[in-house]
Amino acid sequence: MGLLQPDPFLNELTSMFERNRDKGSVWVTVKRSSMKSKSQKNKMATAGEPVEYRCLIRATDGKKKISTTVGAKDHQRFQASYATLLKAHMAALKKRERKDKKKGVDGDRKDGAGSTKKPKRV
Amino acid sequence: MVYVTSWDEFVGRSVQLYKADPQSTRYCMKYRHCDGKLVLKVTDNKEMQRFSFIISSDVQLLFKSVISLLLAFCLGLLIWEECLKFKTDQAQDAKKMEKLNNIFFALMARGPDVTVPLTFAVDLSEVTGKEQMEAQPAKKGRGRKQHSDILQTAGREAEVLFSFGLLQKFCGVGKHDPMMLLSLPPSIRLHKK
Repeated sequence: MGLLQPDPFLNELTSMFERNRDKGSVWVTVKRSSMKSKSQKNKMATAGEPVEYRCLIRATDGKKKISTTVGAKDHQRFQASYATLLKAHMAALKKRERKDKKKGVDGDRKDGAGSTKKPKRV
Repeated sequence: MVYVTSWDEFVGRSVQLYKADPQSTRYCMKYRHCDGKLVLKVTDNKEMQRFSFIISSDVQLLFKSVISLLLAFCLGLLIWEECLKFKTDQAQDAKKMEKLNNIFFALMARGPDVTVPLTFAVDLSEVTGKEQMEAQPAKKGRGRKQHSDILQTAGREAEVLFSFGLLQKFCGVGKHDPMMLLSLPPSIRLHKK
């Protein structure tokens, strides 16, 4: 596998999330890179050419490694698809338990200030 | 490893870290579905020799360790490694993370000079987010899509969003076609009559 185009990368990432639902982790790393070796970069700098930077995205599940690069032009489209992907798969995180918190607070009030205050619910 | 507890602090510091060294800073994410845990890490990989207290009966070793400690201390002042981590199990943080993803994508793909909205006070107006971004052509230009594209890619989301927030309240919808959007209010009034 290794270096892919952004769309196949997203597909592979989807399957990676699917495979690791019950066990395992998914690591995604984002870094800026010009994708050129140091010598090439030095050459370009001395020649006066602007070094073009891209965003390197790597993903792994501990066993398989995939990566892709995204330039300035396509990064918004990639970011939108990536966000959708994450939203779809990160379902295991806890939702905000506001109702429970409220109940807990009301319960405490009843217990603590029962003698001075009348409980709202009879 | 430093776990930062406040999200805003984590964002501020990680962007600062990136701007200090865009070449070596990376943003990592680890997600475990089985545990429902999400960990974010931003680091610049700079070396910092760790302090280690070596208990040794060998005088030479002790001497060497003292020297290395001093060296590490001096180097520590010059080369400061930073690793910021943030862990969570809350779904609301996943949404915040998406915004941070956007920030980093913009910074990394376009360059560290891009101005991005850092404070989440501003970003709260982005909660209705993409709709506003897409519908902003309606406010700025009738059909001037090029202009709107420039605005979209620029970092001036705050002022556009505030002005647009008013427009959205007025129109009540965020649609793609700017002309449609402009024509909606009069037709609604007609229907009401």
